Amino acid sequence: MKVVELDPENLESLAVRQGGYRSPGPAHVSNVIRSIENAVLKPGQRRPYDELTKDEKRRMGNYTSGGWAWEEIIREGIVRAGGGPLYGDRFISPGELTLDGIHGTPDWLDAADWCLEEFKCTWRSSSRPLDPDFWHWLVQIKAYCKMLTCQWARLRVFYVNGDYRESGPQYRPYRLEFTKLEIDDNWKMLTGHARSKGWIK
Amino acid sequence: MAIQKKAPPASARPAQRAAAPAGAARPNSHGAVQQYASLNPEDYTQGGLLDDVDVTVASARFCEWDYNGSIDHPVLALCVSIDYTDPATGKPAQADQYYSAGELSRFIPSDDGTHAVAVAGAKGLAGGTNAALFLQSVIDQGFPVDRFGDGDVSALDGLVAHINRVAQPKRGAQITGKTQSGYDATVALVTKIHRMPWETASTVPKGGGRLSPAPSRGTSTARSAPTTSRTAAPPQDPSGDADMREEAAGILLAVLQNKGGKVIKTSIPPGSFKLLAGNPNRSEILNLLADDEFLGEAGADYGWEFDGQTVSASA
Repeated sequence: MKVVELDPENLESLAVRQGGYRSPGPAHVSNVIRSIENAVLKPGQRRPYDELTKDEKRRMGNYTSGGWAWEEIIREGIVRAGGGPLYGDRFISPGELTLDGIHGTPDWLDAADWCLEEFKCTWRSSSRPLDPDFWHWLVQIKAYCKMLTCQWARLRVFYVNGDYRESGPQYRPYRLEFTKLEIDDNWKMLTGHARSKGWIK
Repeated sequence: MAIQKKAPPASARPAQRAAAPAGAARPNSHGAVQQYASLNPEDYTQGGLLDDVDVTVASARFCEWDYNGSIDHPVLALCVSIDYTDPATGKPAQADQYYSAGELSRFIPSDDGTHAVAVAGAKGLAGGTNAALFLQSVIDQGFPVDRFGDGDVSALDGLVAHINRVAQPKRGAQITGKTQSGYDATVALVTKIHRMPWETASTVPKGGGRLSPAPSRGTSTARSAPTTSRTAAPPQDPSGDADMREEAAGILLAVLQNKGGKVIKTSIPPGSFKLLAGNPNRSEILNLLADDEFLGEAGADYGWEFDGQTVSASA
């Protein structure tokens, strides 16, 4: 047997990410959440993307690409399982939304029950509770709910390493329901932080 | 928060990612105009911005415009084709000036471009747009507003006037009064009317115009707008909140029409989302349409009633 190692290729180049417009500037939901984590929850451990080293950016990009690939897989799977174009109006990729000066790009919106659809791929254990161990996901989802005026979401998580015990890789979908107060309080937190950073007026 | 963990569905529902919101699919009703040279500072490679010059309005028409491809969906614009004397050469010249007039979800140009046709019950052009600033400047200089009749902008054809560029007002967080290159955004407004279209006597001063230099990319000095002794009145609502409410009301009226005159509050977002395709303010509008206070207060102005659960068209 002869083994020849090929040039390494980033996951990012393997995952086909549909191009979309992204407004310039830091006032994006994900950036605001990262900034809050860096300032409060994990001081100094969530530096702004622009401050990361080249290797850190590459590593982060590979994780992110895993999430994109997961979204693509799920989408193709759902389309193949059913009528495809017949349901084209049901699942909407809404693109970038802007509210109070903050931008966000939800994955999907299910127009049938006005439910946010989010896809996540993680190397953390499935034994961890969503709240608080995946706090940043929940903040992000509540922000998108605010932008879309919906109060529930379907979260489809691919745990790459499952529970790190006997499970192997796991897929777990959740339905999350929020009160209006939870969504509004979450939005106040995000806009308040963004305002304190001078990212919005 | 309630978390419901669900088993993977036995048969997942089919889906397809919808195409990106694309107002661009709409054919342009004024295609010939779009082929003219743009005066948008962002598009300049040489030459200059028309400023401080006497002009004759050859035609004023509404059209769809995508800033020469620099935005992802066209908007409504007022295209003013003008004749003037090029001070550099002393020869007659022509130029087109586009004034943005808001989203096509509110108004679309009529087939002949003379009118902006209301979509979904919108009443008036957005007050803070460049088109509104331009029209206000014409009126401020004495053009009788009743000459526009039912909204016929071709009433300006033949107007002889002087224009100056003035700084655009800031319009909230999204529009900063700067071009994408960081220069002060300006708009050419009428600062004096020499002759109304229906007047015959020609008293138009010759020459006197100049071209201000185009902003050159890479310079650190922002180009300041020329000062004028008279400028258009400031927009009544620079933040655009009133426009947003009006737009939201128009969308809700369209939803009511589609739903037979009655819709429960929770069905408003699904019913309005398609109508908001390509609208950069759709999240703001969605939140307005979910706001009990807005639904309760605005109904009297726009013709609906809200009982806390259901919105009904007023009889």
